[in-house]
Amino acid sequence: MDLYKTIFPILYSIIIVVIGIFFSYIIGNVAGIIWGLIFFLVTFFFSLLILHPKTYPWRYIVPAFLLMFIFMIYPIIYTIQIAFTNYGTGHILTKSQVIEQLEKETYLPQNTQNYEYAIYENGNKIKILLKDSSGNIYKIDNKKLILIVKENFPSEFEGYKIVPREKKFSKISLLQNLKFELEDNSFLQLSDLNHFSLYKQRYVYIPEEDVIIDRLTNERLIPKGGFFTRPNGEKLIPGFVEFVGMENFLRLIKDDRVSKPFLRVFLWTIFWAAGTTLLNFTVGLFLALLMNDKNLKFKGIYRTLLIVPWAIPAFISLLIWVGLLNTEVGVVNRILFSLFGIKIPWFLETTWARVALFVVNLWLGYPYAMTVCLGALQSIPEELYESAKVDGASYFQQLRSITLPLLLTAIGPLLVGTFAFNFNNFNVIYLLTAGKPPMSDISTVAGTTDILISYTYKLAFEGGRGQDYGLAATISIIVFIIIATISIFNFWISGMFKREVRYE
Amino acid sequence: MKKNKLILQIPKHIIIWIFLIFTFFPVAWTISASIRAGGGLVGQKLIPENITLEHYSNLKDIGFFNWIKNSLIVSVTTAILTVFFVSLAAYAFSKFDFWGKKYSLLTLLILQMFPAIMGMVAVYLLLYHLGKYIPFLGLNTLSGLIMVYLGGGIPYNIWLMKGFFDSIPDSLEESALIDGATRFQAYYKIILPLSTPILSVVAITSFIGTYSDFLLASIVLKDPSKYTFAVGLRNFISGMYDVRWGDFAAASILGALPIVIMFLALQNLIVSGLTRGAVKE
Repeated sequence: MDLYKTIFPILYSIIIVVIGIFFSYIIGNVAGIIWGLIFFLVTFFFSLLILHPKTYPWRYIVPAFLLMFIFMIYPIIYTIQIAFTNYGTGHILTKSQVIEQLEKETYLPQNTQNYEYAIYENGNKIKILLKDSSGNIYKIDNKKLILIVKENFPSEFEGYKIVPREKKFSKISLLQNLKFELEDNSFLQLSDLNHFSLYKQRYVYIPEEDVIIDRLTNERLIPKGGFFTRPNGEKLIPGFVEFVGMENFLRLIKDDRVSKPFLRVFLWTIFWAAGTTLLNFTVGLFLALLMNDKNLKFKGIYRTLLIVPWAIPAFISLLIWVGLLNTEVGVVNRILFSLFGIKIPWFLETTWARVALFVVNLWLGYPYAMTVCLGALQSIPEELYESAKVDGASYFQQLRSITLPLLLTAIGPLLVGTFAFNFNNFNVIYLLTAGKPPMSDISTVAGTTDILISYTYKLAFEGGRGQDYGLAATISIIVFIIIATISIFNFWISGMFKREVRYE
Repeated sequence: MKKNKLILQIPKHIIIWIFLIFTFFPVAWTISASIRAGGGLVGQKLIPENITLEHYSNLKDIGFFNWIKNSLIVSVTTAILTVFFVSLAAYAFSKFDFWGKKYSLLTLLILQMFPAIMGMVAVYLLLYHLGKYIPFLGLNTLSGLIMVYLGGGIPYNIWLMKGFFDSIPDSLEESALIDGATRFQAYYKIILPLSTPILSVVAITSFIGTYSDFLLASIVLKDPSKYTFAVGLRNFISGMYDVRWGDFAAASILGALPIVIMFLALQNLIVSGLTRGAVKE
């Protein structure tokens, strides 16, 4: 038993350290050595907490915290990191990866050495012999050309048989991928059907000066805007991920193509979150006041039935509503047409698309508002109303001076929480309107009903002109800040630690 | 006097009925579409002229059962693992005093304000890179998706569960410890059995939350054979309302029914869990 008590923590902390090393290695590769090191120190610290008898309770906590660290906290940190880069289409690789790739490129210098060649095969394996212009025949061995015979290719070589001339060209596709590196940084590659030629490495990176030299044109390429750039401004593809400082944030203010849609999306997000929260709680409160009546028949059944929209997974209801609101053949428009002779362009005009969002989100959200209000109403002490009645107060006087003030203190934090929830209510926006209709006067991925979070999604995953992870992460950070401010405000009005906010 | 009150209630019933009609409007039309002969939106009537079950038998061909299978794998695993990891951590936070407790709890409180979707760009890129080293945690894997859900749900649920554990008197545990039980045995044999309500709340809300998620699943899963119900259903119906409405309706009903039944049957439990200062719509 005692043995078990000592071995278990040691084993446990070893496992944590191993996991730590493993993930540190990966994170170090992805995000840089510093992050790998930080992550390793965190896991190492965790394993110390596990080992030490005084911090024994951490043994219960570490697994949860480790998971949270990798899949929640790290993404938050990573988002912040990405926001200060140009990460996106055309800028996916790191600078050293781009340099590595460029340094593999070769060029054919003038007056280079050309060689005729013969192919030898042995089963699936092939070898090449080369003949220069003066008839010397070489084999390639250990980065060197070694003279073996003169004048004619031998018919057999080291157990390999020569491939006859007429079959030679069927091997061309194999030869095209061959690249022999020689000692002096040159490469032997196929230059035409009959010749191998001596190629030189085209791009050479000079770390001290942080430039790439193009040996073909003798130009110095300097890193600028995520590309190695020639003196005439031409950019070398691929580009690399680069720290760009505040540029993404400045684009939100200064670059018209970004700042205009951003501002509109931002204002609509606030209007949407405030409007839909208010509407849902007004209706929810109204229903709760109706239902908060001991004498009301079927109260239990009504409550269960009215709660149904809350029980259906939202994405299903939303997809159904898209069908019902279809402009041409949807049920809603058919009913409206037969009753009033009108057809409403639900998803085609901004105003109507927004009305549709409010109505559908009312359908989704009033059961929650009603439940919360009902709970709050039932917690108001009955005596207050009785003494009010004794004093001769009417129903509306009671409502105004007892019910509403007490209710608002109880559901205030929930109102704020619902506002925050709708601020990020991706599902409703994306599944119902997908942000449509598009902004007609600006060329952007954002539509007139997009909110910040759906705009972020489109920038990162749907961009028509490529993905812009940097800008998407920047907008995420702005959303972070807004939500954090709202939440802190919420703690403040509800009393720190007294309530827990948000459901996911 | 009594009669007067009953008459007064008639307007209440009328108003509630108006809302019931609003509530069941999409439900009724979907049920009707799912049993109506013919597939499109055009010309649908609330009471179908010809009733058929063909849309339900079509479900096998459109991949519905594969979506549901994937959704269940992801949601059940997420629910079980969430309860496992969270209950361990919540137990320590509730029953021990130790170095770092206060600041850890504060950190959790701050972290739970951020929904996982705000880090979606980073989550996508993280899985993309992870997959190169650990294939089963990469993009387009159910296990990678599970990890993302797991990590995101931990802070809030620790707080929720800790609150419940706090209400269990320490004396119960103490007597077990005096009888020679270890702390882990006390957790396992005393605390957990007493906490079934909160364990079920966390399990069920994680299950429903995961089952209903569209965003993260759509980012992570690209291969149709990996689609969860949310992603599969969206891609199936998107832009195809005029021909696939009937099949879609059948899939919606079968896919929603288990959740609706679970939610309504356990509504008191779930609602108490969700409205504990929480927001879900």
